[in-house]
Amino acid sequence: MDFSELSHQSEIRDSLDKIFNEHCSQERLKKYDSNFKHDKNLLSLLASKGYLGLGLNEKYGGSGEDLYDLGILFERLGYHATPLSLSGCLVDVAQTIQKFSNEEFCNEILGSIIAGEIYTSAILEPSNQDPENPITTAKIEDDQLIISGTKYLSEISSIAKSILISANSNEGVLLILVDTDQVKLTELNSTANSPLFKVKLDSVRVDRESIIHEKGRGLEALRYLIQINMVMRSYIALGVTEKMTSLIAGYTSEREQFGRVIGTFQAVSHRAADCFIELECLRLVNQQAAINLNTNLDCENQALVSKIWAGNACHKISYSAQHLHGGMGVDKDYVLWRYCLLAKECELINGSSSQNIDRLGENLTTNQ
Amino acid sequence: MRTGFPFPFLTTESVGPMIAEHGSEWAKEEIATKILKGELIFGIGYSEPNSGTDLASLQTKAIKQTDGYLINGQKMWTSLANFSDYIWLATRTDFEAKNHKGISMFIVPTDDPGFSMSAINTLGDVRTNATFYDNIHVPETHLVGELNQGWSLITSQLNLERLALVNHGPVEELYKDVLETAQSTKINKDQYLSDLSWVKHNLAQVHSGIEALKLICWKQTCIMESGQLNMAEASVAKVYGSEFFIEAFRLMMEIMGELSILKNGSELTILNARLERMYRTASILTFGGGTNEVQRDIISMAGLLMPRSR
Repeated sequence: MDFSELSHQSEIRDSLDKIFNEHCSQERLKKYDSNFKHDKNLLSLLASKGYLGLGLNEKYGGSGEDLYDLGILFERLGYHATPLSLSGCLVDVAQTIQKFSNEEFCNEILGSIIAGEIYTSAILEPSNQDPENPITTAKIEDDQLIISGTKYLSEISSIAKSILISANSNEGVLLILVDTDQVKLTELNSTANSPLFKVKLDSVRVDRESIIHEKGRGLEALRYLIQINMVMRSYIALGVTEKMTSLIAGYTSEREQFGRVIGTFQAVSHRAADCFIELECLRLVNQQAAINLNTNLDCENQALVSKIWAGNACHKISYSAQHLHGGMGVDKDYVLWRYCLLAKECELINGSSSQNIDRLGENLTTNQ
Repeated sequence: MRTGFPFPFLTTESVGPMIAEHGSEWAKEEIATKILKGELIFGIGYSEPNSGTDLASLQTKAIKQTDGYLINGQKMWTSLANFSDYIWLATRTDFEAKNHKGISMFIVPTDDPGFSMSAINTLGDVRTNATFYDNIHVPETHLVGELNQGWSLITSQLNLERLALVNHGPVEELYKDVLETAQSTKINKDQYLSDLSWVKHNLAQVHSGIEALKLICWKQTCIMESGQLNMAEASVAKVYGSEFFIEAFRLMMEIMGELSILKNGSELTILNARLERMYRTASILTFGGGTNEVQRDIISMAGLLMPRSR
């Protein structure tokens, strides 16, 4: 096995860092603490430089179907706490369509996503523990579908052209692309001020052609969507925890108490080291899951392992960082606090560690 | 505290008893009495920009004058200063003596023109303050305890504070509500959230943690009633309680799932968004009131009689 990064991958990382360093300064981020957290200029810049085509096939204008590359984008989005929520668009919609839709869909939608058009997904439902089995229903009437249900935690839906919805029907699970003006949106107020919405579908009528996959492959497509979302969300978590760990290293190497820098106290350096270990584990399980999802459409156990590590790392590193910074860690004039909120969001959305441990245990003991 | 009432427990449970025991006649009559009546609130002025965990290095000074003391300096994290009548202030009064031996405690009025503050907003949406002391003159009666003997007042106060910080009431109340919600939330036709094995596991972990915390708190109360306070045990309560809160909020947020990241005022919130607020405030206790590394030092020295770590 070769763990070294290819040269084009380090180039992606470096150029993204250059862009984000310029666009995500403290002053800029402050603007989005209480406003709609979406930097449209930054999104256009990413589009113009081709970064929205990461993980997408060259024939649609992308830079190649490698999820490892897409992972780098999400890791750096997390590391810089960028005011962009792109997993609904670039992961759920783009990747699922690329793998499960016909050429027509791919050409139309992937092309416009690469150019900066926003799409999003609405998969999760309040008080539904199992996103593979949506409560939302689609009634099939001749060539039309009538969709009803409530979704939530859908990203940047208010500025999305259309929303990918999961629903149950008498043909099984369906993934359907619905125009945003056909649904009712309510903005939710969530811990990291991310632009998340409740999506209400009240007998929404769409053509049968809005189903993005072949007949009978809906559940497979939805399972893939959920898994790749877990993995890419874990990449955001990787960036978030990596930044927190580097803040720990920086602060404890400068702050002096008892006449020495506090990083020289064993209790402090050991706790920082534990964060580093956690981070390395998370990085590796993410890379494994991303690489395998390139060629295998069902890697549930590897996706679960990623998300379990992500949830644990987010929790442990967030509180270690706050603790080792003392009061600075919670002061809103310092940088750390935004990452702590993002960490909780990454930890809980699309399955918590306890929930996923339970599911993994179930898989390991029954899929023999 | 169980009901969520913002009770000024640091004033009543930790500063008040110190003043009642060591204050001047004026302080005992005027201050302690009013604290008991609920008419006074104190902020605690210990930390400074360069003196946090190493508190004994503090530099705020009180200089003896003919008719009292002149105070100058800056404090950090002076919580409640914006509501307080007085600051319980740690100052340096002997500049020649070793760090711990030159500290004295004063009662400083916040309505003095030399007093000012600036707000510090925090992750948990709790405001704290930087406070500034510019040529504040206080009479002799505002000195608490003997001159240069302040360090023992600080450590005694902190022992009381540490216990007050980890009161088990609020977390137990929250646990009951989470349990009840899990038992009444249907996840499908014939199952409730509480039927899931991992939910049971999380609930059991929180429950067993609360049992231990409750007993630690009760035992400490009992020891305090008999007029003693064991340093090691106060530190055990503080380390265990503060680290348990963080785990407990996490386990309960997992049970309530993604709904628990929704903030007060949003649609779809659960349990009045209490979990969303509490997880953000949880970290303060692992370093506030004496960082847990120092508490562990105290436990190994005072509880296990091991040599001082360096």
